[in-house]
Amino acid sequence: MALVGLLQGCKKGQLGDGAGTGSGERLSAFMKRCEDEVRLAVSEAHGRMDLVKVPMPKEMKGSLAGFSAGSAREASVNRFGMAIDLDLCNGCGKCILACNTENNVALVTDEEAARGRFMHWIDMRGGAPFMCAHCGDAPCEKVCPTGAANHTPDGISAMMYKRCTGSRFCGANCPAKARKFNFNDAQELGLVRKLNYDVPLREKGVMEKCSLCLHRLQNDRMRFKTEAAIAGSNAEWRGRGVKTACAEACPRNAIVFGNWLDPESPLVKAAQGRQLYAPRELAEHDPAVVFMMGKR
Amino acid sequence: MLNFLRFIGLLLLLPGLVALGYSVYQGPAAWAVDSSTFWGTPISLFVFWIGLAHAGTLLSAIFLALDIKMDKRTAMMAELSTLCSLAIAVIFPLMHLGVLDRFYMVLPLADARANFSNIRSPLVWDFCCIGVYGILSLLFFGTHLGAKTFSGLKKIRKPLAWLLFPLVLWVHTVVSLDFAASFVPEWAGAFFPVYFIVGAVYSGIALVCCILWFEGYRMRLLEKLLMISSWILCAIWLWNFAAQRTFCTSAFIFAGLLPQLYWVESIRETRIGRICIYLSVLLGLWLERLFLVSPNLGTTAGASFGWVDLGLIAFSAGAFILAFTSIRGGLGSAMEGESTFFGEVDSTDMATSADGSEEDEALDPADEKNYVEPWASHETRTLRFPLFVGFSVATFFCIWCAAQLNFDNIELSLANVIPLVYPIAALVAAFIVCGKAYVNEVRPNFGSVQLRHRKVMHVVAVLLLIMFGSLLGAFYAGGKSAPSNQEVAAQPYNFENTEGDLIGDADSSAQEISAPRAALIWNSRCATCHGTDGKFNEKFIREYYPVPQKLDSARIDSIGVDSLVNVILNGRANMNAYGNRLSGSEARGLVRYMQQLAKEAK
Amino acid sequence: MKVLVAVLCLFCAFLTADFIWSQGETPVRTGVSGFEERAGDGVRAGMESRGLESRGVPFDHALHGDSIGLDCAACHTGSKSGARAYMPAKSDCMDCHRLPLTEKPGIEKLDSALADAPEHPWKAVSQLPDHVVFHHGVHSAAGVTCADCHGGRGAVARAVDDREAIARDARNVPNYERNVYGGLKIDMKTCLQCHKGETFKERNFKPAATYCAACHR
Repeated sequence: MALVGLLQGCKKGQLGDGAGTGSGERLSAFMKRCEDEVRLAVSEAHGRMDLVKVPMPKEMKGSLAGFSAGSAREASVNRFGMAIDLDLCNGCGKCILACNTENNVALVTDEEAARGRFMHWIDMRGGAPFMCAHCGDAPCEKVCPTGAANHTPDGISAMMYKRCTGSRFCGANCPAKARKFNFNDAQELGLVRKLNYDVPLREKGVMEKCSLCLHRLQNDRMRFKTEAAIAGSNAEWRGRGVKTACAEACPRNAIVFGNWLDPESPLVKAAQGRQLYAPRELAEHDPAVVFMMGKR
Repeated sequence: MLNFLRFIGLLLLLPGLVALGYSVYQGPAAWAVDSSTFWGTPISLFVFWIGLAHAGTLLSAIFLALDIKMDKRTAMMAELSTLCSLAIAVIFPLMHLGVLDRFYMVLPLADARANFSNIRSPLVWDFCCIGVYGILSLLFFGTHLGAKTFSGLKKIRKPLAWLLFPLVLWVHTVVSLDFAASFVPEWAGAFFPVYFIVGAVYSGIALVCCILWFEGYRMRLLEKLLMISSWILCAIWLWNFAAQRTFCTSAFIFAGLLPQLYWVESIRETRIGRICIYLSVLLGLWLERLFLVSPNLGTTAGASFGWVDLGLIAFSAGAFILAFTSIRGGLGSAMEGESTFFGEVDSTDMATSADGSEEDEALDPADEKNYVEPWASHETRTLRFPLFVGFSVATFFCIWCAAQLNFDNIELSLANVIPLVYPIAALVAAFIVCGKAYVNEVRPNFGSVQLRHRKVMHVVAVLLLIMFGSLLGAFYAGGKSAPSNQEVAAQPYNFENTEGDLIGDADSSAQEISAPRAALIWNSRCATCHGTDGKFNEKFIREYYPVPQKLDSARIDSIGVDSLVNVILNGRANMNAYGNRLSGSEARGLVRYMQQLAKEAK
Repeated sequence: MKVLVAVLCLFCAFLTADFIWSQGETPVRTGVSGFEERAGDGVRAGMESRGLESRGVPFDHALHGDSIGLDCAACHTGSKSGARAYMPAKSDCMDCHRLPLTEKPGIEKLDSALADAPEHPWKAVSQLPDHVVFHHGVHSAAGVTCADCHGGRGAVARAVDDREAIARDARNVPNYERNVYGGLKIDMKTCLQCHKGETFKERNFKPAATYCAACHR
C-alpha cells in the first residue's frame, strides 16, 4: 500500500503553472483545437431526444429529507436549474465551447473523436444541447459506492472527484448517459489546459459531468455570505446574478440559468407560461434542467 | 493429469498476465467499453466467477446441512473450487476501478475525515457480502481440512454450513441487485435474484462436475441437478424473451440446448461426451453473463472485443486452473477421505453407493434414530449464542450507520442497511463458533502439532494482525492530495480607470458597490490611517504619519462626492493615490461609507 | 495473554499506519524570513530575482502587526473579503513606506531595497489543493480570526502575540514555523471538526455547512 501511495504520489505531477498562462501562441493553438473538436462534435451529433411534458421543477423530492433532518441545516430555499429554449436554439454549439473552456474539459485523442467519444459535458442531441439534468431524485447518486456523486442542498448533483473510485456504476445507472468517464490521462497526453483556475483538472479514472458551474455558485455564495455577515443581515442567498458559462455564451439567450424556487429568478420568469419538456427517460427523476417550447 | 492441467493453466495464465498488467496500466480504456457501456469484460468475468464460487460451498454446505451424504473428497473439491474462483472473482471488480488505490473507500467504515461510503449503493453491499463470504468459505474449508488432525472440529462443520447456506443465497441476491437496481433496460427485473442464483448454481455444478471428471470419477446426483437447473434457466430465458424481447441465442444453445444431449446414453456414458457437456454449460453461461453486462457488444454501436478482453478471460481460466491444481497437489491426500467414493469411478460403473458415508455421522448416533426437536438440535445449541451476538453487532452497526454525521448528502433508511445485516451477523457468529472450537478442541490437542509448526503459526498470526492493522490505519488516514502550488501574489485588478470614468456619471448609483463591500475595502485599505470607525488609527498615525483630516459630515458634504472620489483615486498631500487599485465605483462606495461613518461618529 | 498481544499488535499497527499516512504535506512559503534553508532550489532561485529577503531586508510581522494597530487585511488585502488572502504588491508597501518611518540606522538600506523591489515582491505558493474551496472572507466574517488557523507559533502569532513567548518557542521548538499555519496541521479533519462545532466551542460560531460541495468542487 505504501508502494502504491509512493507511486501515486510521484504520478500526481501538477500541470505546470505556465499551463494556463502559457505563451499566447500556444494557447491560441490549443483553443483552436478545442474549437475544431466542438465543431466535429456538433457536426457528428446524432441521437434524438424523446421529449415528454413535465411540470415546473419544485423542491427536490426525497433527497431533501436528509438535509432537513440535520440539526444544523434547514430546508434549502434554492434549487438551481436551467431551461433550454428549443424555439430559440439553433444548435450552434457555442455553449459547448464555453463550457469546455470554463470547466477545463479535456480534448480526446483522434481515434476517440472518430468513435464519437468526447469528454464534453454538453452533448448535441437532436440539435439541442443536452447535459446532466441534475435530477432531484438522481439514480446515479443512489448507486455511487463512495458517495462521490451527491446532491447539494441547492439542488446540484455534484461530483467529488477525489472521492471517486471510478467504478462507473453511476454512468451505467444514468438513464440518459450524461456522465463521461476519464479514460485518458489528459494531463499526461497534453489534452487539457488549466484555462480556468477555479475548476480542478480531473484525473484519469474518474467520472465527470456538468456541474452547473458549481464553482461560480460557490464563489457567489461565499461573497454573498461575507457581505451579509458584514452588513448583519439575515438574507438568504438565492444565487441571483449568477449565470452558467453556457447560458452566458449563448448568442440567442436560449439557455436560461436560475433558481426554480426564486420567483424573481430569470429562469422562473422565462419558464412562466411555457410548456416544459424533459427527455422521457429522465422525466420521472425530477430533472432540474429542462427544455421549453411553444406557448408563450 | 495434474501436470497436464498445470501446463494448460500456465499456458493461459502467462498471456493473461500480460493482458491484466496492460489493463491495470492503461485503465478501463483497455477493454471493450464505450460511452454507453461503462462495464465490460471484467464485470462479466466477475459475475461468472462469483457464480462459480457460490456453487461449490453451496453444494457442500447444503448437502451437509440437509444431511445428504457426500464423500469428503467431493465436498473438499467443491469447497476448494469455491475459494479459488472467489479469489479470482475478487480481482476483477478491483481492477475494473478507474482509480485502483481508492478501493477502500467502498468499505462502510468512517475514516478520519468522517467520510463514509454510500451505504445505499448495491456495490457497498456487494463488497461486504463477498468479503464475508470469502472469510466464511475459508473457515469452512479450514475446519474441514483441520478435522483430520483435530476431530473436535467436525462438530462445528454443520453449524457453519447452516450459517453459509443463507449467506450464499444472500450474496448472490445482492450481486444481482447491482444490476436489478439500475436503469439499464436489459438489467431491470424482479426475477433477477432468482435468475442469478439459478445461473450460479448451474455453472457451479458444471464446474464441480468438471473437476470430478479430471479426478476421474463422477457423481450422478450432481448431473441430475445440472439438468434440473438447465430447465429452470431455460424457462427463465423464455419468459424473459416473452416479457422483454431480449434473448442471447448463443447462451441458449450452449447452456440450454446442448446439455440436453445428456439424455443420449452414448454421450452420457462416455468421458468425452460428459466433459463436452460440462464445458458447453460453462461457455454458455459465460456468454450469457457477457451479454448481460454489455448488451450491445459487437453491434455497430457497441465496442468490439480486443486482445485484452481475450487475455483477461485467459487469465481468469489460467489462474483458476493453476491455483486449484497447486492447492490440490499440495494438500494431496489430506483432501481425500478414508471412505470410498460416493460417486463412481469411471472404469467400474458402480451403482450409487448409499453406504459411502462421511465420517461426520459418528457425531451423535442417537440423532439418527430419535427425532430431535429442531430447537434442541446440536446446530441450534451451537449457533444460538453466536447468532445472538452477531445480530446484536449488526443492529449496533446499523444504528451507528444511521447516526453518522456525514449523511448530509445521503438519505438513509433502514432498507439501505438491511442487506448488510445478515453478512455481519454471520461473520461474527462464525468467528465465535470457530473461536470456541479453537479454545475447546484445538488448543487442548495442540500437543499433536510439532513445536516448530506452532511457532510458525504464531509468527504468521502476529504478522497477519500487524498487516491488517496497518492497512486499516492507512485506510482510516486516507490519502492526501497534492497542493495546487498556484502562485498567489498581489490582488489582481481588472479594470481601467480612465479620466472620464472617474468624474463622469457620479449620479448613477447603479455603479456603486454594496455597503458591506465598501466596509470591507475601507477596513483593508483605509483603516490603516483612518481607523475602522473613522476615528484614526492612533498607534500608527501619531508615530509615523501626519494626522489626516477628521471625518466630518458637514465637511464631506461640502467637498462633494466627486472631488472625494477624485482624492481617493488620485491622492492629495499625504493621502495616497488608489487609482490603480480601486475602481471608480468602489471609490464612490467608499465615499458613501465615509458619510455613514461620519454620521455614526456624531 | 495471547489475546492481549494480538489486540496490542493490531492497535499499534493501526496507530502507526494512521500516523504515517496522515502526515500532511510540509508546505513551504516564499517571502517569510528564514525561508531559505527550507525552500527548494526552485523557490529560492525564483525569489532571488524578486524577493526583498534576498536583499537582506527581513520582513518582520511583529513590526507590522498589532504593535502599530495594523490589520492583516491592510497588506493581505483579500484576507477579510476575498477567497484568497493575497500578498501585498509593492504599491501596497509604498502606501506607508514612501515616508521615512523611523530614524533607526539601516533605514537607507530598507528604502533602497524598496525602491529596487519588483512590482510584486512577495509571492506565496498556495497549499490549498485544487479541489478545495477556502474563502478567507466568509470565515473572517463569521468571526474566525486569522490566528485561529494561522496562529501556531508562526508569523501571525508574532504579529499579534507576545514576542517573548514566541521567541521562547522558537528556541525550544525546531522548525517552529514550518508552514503557513505556523506549524499547525490543517487538513480536512481539522476543517470538519470546526464546521461541526467540535472545536472552538467557547467561540459560539454558527454551525457551518458540512455537505461535500460546500468546500469541494
